Amino acid sequence: MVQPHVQVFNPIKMTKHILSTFVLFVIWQGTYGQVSAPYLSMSLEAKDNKARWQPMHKMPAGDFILEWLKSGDILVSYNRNEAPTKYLKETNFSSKELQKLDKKISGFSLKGIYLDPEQPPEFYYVIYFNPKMKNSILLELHALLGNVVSATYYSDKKINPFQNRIYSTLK
Amino acid sequence: MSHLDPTVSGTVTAYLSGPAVGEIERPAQPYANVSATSSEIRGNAAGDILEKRTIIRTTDGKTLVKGGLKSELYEAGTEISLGISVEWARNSISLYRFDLTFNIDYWQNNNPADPRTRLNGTATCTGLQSN
Repeated sequence: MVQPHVQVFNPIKMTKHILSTFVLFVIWQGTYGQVSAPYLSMSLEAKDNKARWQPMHKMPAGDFILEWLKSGDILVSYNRNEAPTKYLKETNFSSKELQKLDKKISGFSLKGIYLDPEQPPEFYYVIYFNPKMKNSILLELHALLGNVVSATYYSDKKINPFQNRIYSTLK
Repeated sequence: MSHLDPTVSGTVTAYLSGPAVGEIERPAQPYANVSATSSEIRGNAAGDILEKRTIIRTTDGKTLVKGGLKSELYEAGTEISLGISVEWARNSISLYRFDLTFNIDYWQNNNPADPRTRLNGTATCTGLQSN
């Protein structure tokens, strides 16, 4: 049976509600920041068909900047001379496709899947993010989901938590 | 489906579209066959496309995709923009292949306005990618 909805105006409840909404809004706003990383490490192919991480080192021409947009899309700039590119958030994946991705790695969780409009359409950027490390990000480029083409870790610290994540070359 | 008459065969325009699609090559001519009797239409179609690309990784961690097999042009150390050079480059080939058969039966339900259609198809993309 459906209960009739009765709303009684209560000024104290109302004030509490407005206050908590405001606090939540401020917290929510805070999560829309940017990643600013002066260090990077790329996972590069080695002779044994497995990839190895480079030591963390300084970005060659200015910080890597990633901005979280409210629309869900992101703005990415790889160096100071480059205008940011908008990567579009993609959500249209079947659960079977999504199973090919790790949801959590070394405290980082899957943040989203993005398309670079300047790249071929089957290439997706898969991003892992840890809210406790706001200036760190793992950026994987997949050819269709699950086939990693490249991986780069950007951070403001010279430690790479993905050091033991070894990507194998696809044949 | 050996009894089919090839009624459609010829140049097929772009299968792949969008920015940064690599150089495309067709190892064999794609085809589509259709045959019709008084009560049904049968057909099949197939084709494959090779796409050739070069994947380049630059010293700022960016991955670039260029059309054609050009990794020799982008040797490690080649400067491509201010303060940024090539870290790694590899040629990459993707094969897109499709195969489709169809059958449209007009008398299955004794009603030509309500044909039964059966489609059976596969499409695959295989490729040599590296990281």
